[in-house]
Amino acid sequence: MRKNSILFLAGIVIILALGFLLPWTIRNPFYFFVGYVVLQYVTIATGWNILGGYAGYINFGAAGFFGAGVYLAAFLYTTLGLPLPLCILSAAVLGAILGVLMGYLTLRIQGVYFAIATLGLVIVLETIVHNISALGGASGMAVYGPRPPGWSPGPSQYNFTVMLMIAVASVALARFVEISWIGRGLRAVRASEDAAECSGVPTLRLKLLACALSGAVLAAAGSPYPFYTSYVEPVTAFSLIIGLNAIAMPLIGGTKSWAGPVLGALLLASVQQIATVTISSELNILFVGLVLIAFVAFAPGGLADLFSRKQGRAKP
Amino acid sequence: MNDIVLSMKAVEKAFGAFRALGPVDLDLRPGERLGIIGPNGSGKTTLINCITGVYRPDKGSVHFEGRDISHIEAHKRARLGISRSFQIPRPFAGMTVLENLLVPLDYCHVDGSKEERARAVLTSVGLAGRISHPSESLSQLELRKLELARALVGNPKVLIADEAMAGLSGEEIDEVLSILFALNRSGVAVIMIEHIMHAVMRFSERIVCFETGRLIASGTSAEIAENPLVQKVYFGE
Repeated sequence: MRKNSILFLAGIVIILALGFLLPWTIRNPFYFFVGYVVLQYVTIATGWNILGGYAGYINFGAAGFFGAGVYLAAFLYTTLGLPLPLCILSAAVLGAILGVLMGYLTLRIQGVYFAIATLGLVIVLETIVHNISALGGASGMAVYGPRPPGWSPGPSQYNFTVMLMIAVASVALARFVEISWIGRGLRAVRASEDAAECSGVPTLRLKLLACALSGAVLAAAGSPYPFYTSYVEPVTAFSLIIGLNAIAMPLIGGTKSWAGPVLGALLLASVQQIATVTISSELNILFVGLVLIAFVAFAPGGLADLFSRKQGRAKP
Repeated sequence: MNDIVLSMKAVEKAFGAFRALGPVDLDLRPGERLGIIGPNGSGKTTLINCITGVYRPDKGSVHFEGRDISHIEAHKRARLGISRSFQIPRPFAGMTVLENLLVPLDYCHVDGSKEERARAVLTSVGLAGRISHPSESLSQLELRKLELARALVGNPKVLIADEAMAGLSGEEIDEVLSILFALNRSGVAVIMIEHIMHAVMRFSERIVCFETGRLIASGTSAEIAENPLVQKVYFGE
């Protein structure tokens, strides 16, 4: 195993250990309530980047996958009583299926047309949910989540640890994709689809795989949400703010590597949470817009690119 | 069929009302050096795109080693052994020179270590010193070499070099030609599409000339140079 992979694995073990231990050492559950949102966005940004960053296909439909995950988990838990891990797994499978369907319908178009088509997915899914009474329709549905198990001191801490595990699994998946033949193929697609195809890369199949993986992660990100809020309704579950953050966070952090979306999400989601509490919940959206404009104008490669350029200059 | 590696039978391609190619019949022998010339818009690149699978011919068929590949996707043709470089270099930006070669090696079957194979090919084209550099940092000549290296790293049986010398100086043209000659000596059939006449005349055993999508002449360099139809295409009446 390469040195970087060993370091990555060690990092995962440490982070997971902290995820289980911190709830017992930090007594205020509010930190875990806020931490859940930050980790949710780490997962969303990471999932979005598999298709949008590696392959260069800008997906405006992240909220569609997220919302699908939210509603499937809520439905399976409240009606069938499925355990939480199965709800999360089912949401990931649904996200993958939705991703492949979206890919089949849209991947033959590129650029802005692809982006608009993916935006349509959100509207279609939200409209469907609005009209299904079993899902609560426009008024939404209440979800009474599972009791926290013995290893977690409370519901906020439990949701936090579950979200942490999903985030870690998503980042590990994104890193595997990045360093494997899949990631190299996707980056080749991003650079030149014709050249990639003529180099033996099955571009359509690879893009469909990216859609499936991205969709699975985005839907998994939404699956614990009903238990976090205890209530779901379509406008919040399919909120365009989720789609906006899904794009903004990887762009700010950098889309070339798995670390970019993680960095962007940690930074932006944390600042958003602080702004929500200290200034106003509306102002945090303004903040996202301003930061996004600044990065697109002055650092289009994102934070990761800024760091690597700085490191490059520092070398003799 | 053993004496023909690639064969096009009555291939036609149109874009709307504009017939870009054909009908064209063309054969390529194993290890042959074939030059394709013709003015801009004569159908040379459309021909390549029909061979490599970027375009599907409207009519006719393309055969590779006796097998009809007309309906096979481009990436499968590349894996079979039909490789190409592009008129305008298309490096995989964001990757190093070495990674650019690892892409075809990930998807085309090659015996042995991928990295060793990539390093050997990069050394053979004179890019050994640039292995870990970003592909965006290469000069025009180096980009041309990278295109060729990426095309030949998967051990192709046919290499199509689409204007691989465009924009290069005399010495640089010689360098690219020596790479193509060396590749051909290893048994690879090379199709050279080129506007630089002295290069294509020097390289090719046989040259075919296209005009408005049709093959109008075929022969050795000397025969092509004397052909009145070719002279008319290039010099007018």
